[in-house]
Amino acid sequence: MSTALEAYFAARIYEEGRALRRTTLRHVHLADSPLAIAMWRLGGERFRAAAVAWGPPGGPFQLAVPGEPRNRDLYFAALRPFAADLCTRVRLAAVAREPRQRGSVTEHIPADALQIVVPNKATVSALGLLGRYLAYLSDRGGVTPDPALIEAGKHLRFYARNARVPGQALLVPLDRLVADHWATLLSPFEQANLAALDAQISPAAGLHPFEASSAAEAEVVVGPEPTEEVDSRTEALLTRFNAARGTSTDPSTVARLVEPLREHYRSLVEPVWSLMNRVFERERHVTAAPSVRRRFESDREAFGRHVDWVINQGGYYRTTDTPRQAAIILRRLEDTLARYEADRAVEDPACMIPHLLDGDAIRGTVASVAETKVVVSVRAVRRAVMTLDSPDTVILPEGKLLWWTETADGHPWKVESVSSNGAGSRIVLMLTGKPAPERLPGVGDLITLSTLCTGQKSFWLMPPVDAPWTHQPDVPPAAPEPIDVGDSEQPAAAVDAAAAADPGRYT
Amino acid sequence: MSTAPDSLSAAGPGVDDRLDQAVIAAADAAQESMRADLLGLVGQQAAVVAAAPAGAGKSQFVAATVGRLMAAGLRVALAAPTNDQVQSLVARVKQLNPDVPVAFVHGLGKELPTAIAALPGVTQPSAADARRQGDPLVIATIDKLADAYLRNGLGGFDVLVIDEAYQADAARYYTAAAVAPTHLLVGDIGQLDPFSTLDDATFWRGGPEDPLQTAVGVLLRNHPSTPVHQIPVTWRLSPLAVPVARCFYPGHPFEAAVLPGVRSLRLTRPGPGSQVLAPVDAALDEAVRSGWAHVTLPGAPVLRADPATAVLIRELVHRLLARSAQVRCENRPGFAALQPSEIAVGVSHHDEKDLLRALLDSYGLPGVRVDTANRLQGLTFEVVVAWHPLAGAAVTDAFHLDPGRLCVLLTRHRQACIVVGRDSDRALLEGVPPATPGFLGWDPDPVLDGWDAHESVFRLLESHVIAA
Repeated sequence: MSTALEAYFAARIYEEGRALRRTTLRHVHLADSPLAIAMWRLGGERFRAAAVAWGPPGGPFQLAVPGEPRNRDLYFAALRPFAADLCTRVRLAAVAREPRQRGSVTEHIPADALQIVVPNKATVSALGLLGRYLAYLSDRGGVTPDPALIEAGKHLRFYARNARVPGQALLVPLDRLVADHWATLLSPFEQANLAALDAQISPAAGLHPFEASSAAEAEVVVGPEPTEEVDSRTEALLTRFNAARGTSTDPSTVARLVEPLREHYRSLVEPVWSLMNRVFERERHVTAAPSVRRRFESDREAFGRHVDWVINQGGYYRTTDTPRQAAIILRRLEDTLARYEADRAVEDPACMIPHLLDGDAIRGTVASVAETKVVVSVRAVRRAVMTLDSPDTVILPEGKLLWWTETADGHPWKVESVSSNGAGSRIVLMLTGKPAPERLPGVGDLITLSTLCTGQKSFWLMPPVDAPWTHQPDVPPAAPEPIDVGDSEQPAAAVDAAAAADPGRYT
Repeated sequence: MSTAPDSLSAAGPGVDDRLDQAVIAAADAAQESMRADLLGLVGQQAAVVAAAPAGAGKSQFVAATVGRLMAAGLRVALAAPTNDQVQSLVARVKQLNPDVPVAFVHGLGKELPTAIAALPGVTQPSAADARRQGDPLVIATIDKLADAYLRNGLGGFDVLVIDEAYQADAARYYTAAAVAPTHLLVGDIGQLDPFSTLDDATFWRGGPEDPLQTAVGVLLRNHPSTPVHQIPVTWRLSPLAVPVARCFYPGHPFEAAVLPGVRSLRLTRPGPGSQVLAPVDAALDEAVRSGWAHVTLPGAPVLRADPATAVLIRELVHRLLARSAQVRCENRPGFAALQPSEIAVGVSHHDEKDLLRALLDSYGLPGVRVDTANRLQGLTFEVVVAWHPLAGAAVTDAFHLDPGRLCVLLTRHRQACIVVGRDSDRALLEGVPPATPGFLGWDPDPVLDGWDAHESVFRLLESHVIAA
C-alpha cells in the first residue's frame, strides 16, 4: 500500500464527498446466482447461531431462528432446513464436470461451484465456528444428529478455511470486496462495517461521507455480533420465550412461541439483505480482470476436491493442521498472494499506481532496443538491451530485476544503468533470456516494468510425510473430548443433597 | 565487513589486557558445556540450544564446534537461513579448521565468492554429488539442504548444526531436520522472528503446528527438556554499546569482551567552510565520543522513503569518509583507514534501501552496504547508520515496533552507531500501548515488547541527540 496514494485518495474523497474506485477492473469472480448468508449470534455465545438467513441476494430469504440456540434440540431443529438446503446446493453445483488438461493428466473438475456471499469477514469466522461445531457432532445421549447438519458443518468449515486463499471467490465477504476495490475515508477497523463502507460510495445527498457512514451504521445493524441495544432486545424476547415454553421443545409449541424472536431477526435481516444485494450488484457489473477466470478455476478445483472427499468418500477434516499441513498451506498461501498481487497490478493500470509511486515499477517510452552478446558462465549468448526514457525520476539500483507487464510470467529485465535525462531518467535494461520477438517491446512503445512476476519463480517439493522428531511431542497429546461434550441442554440429574456423601458441595 | 570475533578467539586469546578475561572465561565455560552436552547426545534424537546476544561469536563457536565434531569422526551438515550467512560460515570454518574439507551445496546462481571458493579443500558439488561422495561436511542454506534431502536424498549426517536458528521458521526446519538425528541450534534471540507476507499469519499462533514459530520454538515446545545454554559475551559490541543492546535481551546477562577504550574511531577536524555541515559533523563527533548519536530532523509525518532522511544519511556517510575516519581496535592496534565496506546503512523497507543505494552510488560510495534489517542479521560493520523504524511515522504498528528490527539495526556495529529519525518519533510512544491480541500457548507479544524496547532505547539515547 502506497502512503502517497492513500494520502491522495483521502484528499480527493474529502474534496469530492464520496469514495473513489481504486481499481478499473473487478478482481474477484462474482457468480450469477450465489447464495447469500447473514447470521447473528448471541452476545456471549460464539459457537451458536441465534439466527441464520439464507437465499439469493435480492431475492426472498429463509430464516432459521431456534429461539433458544443453547438448547440442542431447538438448535438442530431450526438449523436443519438451512443445512439441508446448503448440502443440496453444494451437491448440485458439483454434478456437472468438465475435463481439465494438465500435462498428460486429465482431471474432471466441477464446471461451476457454489459461491457464498456474506456481509463481512466476521461472518466468515462465524460460519467457520458454526461449521467446526456441526462437523464433529457426536452421538451424544445415543441420538445420532441429522447427517445433513454434519455435512453442512463440513461444507461451512471448508468454505471458511478456503476464504484465507488470496483472490478466492467461493466465500466472498462483501466488506473485503468493497475495501479492495474502493478507497474510502474509513480506517481498517471501520471498514469492517459494510453499511458504513457502502454509505461512503453513495452518500445521501448533502451528507459528507463521514456523516453518511455514521448514519448508515446506526440504521443498519450488520451481524453476526449484536450491538448492545440489539442484544438487550434479544435477551428480553429470549427470556419471555424460555419462560413461556418451560422445558418444552415440541415443534408446534415452539413454532408459535418463537414468532416474536423471528420477527425481531427478520427486521434485522431485511436491511442487511437489501444492502448486500446493492453492494453485490454494483460490483458484479464491473468488468472482471482476465485472471479472475483462472482463479475461479482454482476455486472450482478446490471445491471439487472437497466434494469428492466429504460427499463421495464421507471424509472428515482434521480439527487442526499437522505441522506438515501448516507448512504446505503457508507456502501455498504466500505464493498465491504474490501471484494475486502481481495479477492485479499487471492487468489493472490503477493497481500499478502504488507500485509506480513506491519505486517498485517504472513507466516510460522505449527509445531503443538492440541485440548484443554477453558471456553467461562460459558461453556467449544473445541478449536484448533496451533503453527506456521515463518522464519521472527513477531510483533503481543496478542489477534490479523487472518484469515487463506484457511478459510478466517470463524472463525479467535487469537494470544496467540509470541516468538523468532532462527532468526524467534514462534506464538501460538487459533481457535475461533469449530475445524472441514476443519478449521485446517496439521502439516508441509506452511500457511499464515492475518487480511483480505472475509466473512461478521457484518450484518446491512437498515436505516428508513423516514428521521429524523435532516436530513431534515427547508425549503424544491425549485424545480430545467430543466437541459437543459441554452442551448444556441436558442438565445433570438432580441430586438429593441430604443423601449425598458431601452435602456441602450442593448447598 | 568483518565478523566477530576476529583473530582473538574465545578458544585461545591468551592473556590479553585489551579483553575482559573474566567475561571470556565465563563464555568459554558456557561453550565447553554446550559441546560436552552435544557430544554426549550424538546418536540420539536430541538437541542442544545455544542462545546468544548480538555479536557473541556464534559463527566462531559454530565453526569451532564443527571442527570438534569432525575430529570425532562425525559427519556434519551445517546450515543457516540465508546465502550470505552460509557463505560466511564456509570462510569461518576454513579459517579455524584449514584441513577440514568443506562441500558447499548451493542454489542456482548462488556460488561462493571467488576468494572463498579458492580456499584449499572447498568444493561446490551438486547435491547429488555430495550424496554420492558422502562428503563429511556439507554447508548449505536451510532451504537448499531441505531441497537436497527431498530431491537428491542428501542426508545420513550425524549432526545438524543450524546457525541463526531463531531466524529460521518451523516450516523450513521441518524438512531439514530429517538429515541428522542430533541437532545443535545456535541463534540470537533478539533478532527478527520469521515473518510471512500473509495478513493472517497468526492463524496458527499458539498451536504446535505453527509454521512461523522459530526452529528453536518448535523444538522446545515439543521437547522442553532440551538443554538451553546462554552465551554471556558479546565480541562485536563495545562496552559503550552494551547498555542499549541489553534492552533486547531481558533475562540474558552478557558483557562486552573488549575492555573500555580499546576501540577507537578517529576523525580529522572539520575544515574551514564546514558550517553548513555543522549538524552532520556534530553527530559524527558525538558518535566518535560516545559510540552513539541520535540525529533528529524536525518532527513531521513523512512518506516512508523520506528524501530528507535519505539525504541526511548520505551526508553522514559521505562526511564520515571525507573526514578520513580511522579505526583502532583489539585486532588493529594502530589506527587504520575506515573502508566503505566497513560501513552499513540499515533500513526497514526496500524503497528506503533503493533510494539510499542510488544516493550513495551518486556520491561514489558503492562499497557502503545498504540493506534491510532482515538482510543485515548476522553481519558486522565498524560503523552503522540506522534509519529509525519509527522515523516520521504518523502512527505505530506491529511491523515498525518489532523489537527484533530495532535490535538488528542497533547491534551491527563495533565502533559507533548513528540513529537517524525525527524529533517527533518518541512522542509516538506516549500514552497507553495499543491493545494486542492474545494467543493461547504463545507468550511473546512483539508489539508490547517492541513498545518497551523502543522506549528504553529512546531514553538511553537521550544524551546523544543532535538536532539536524
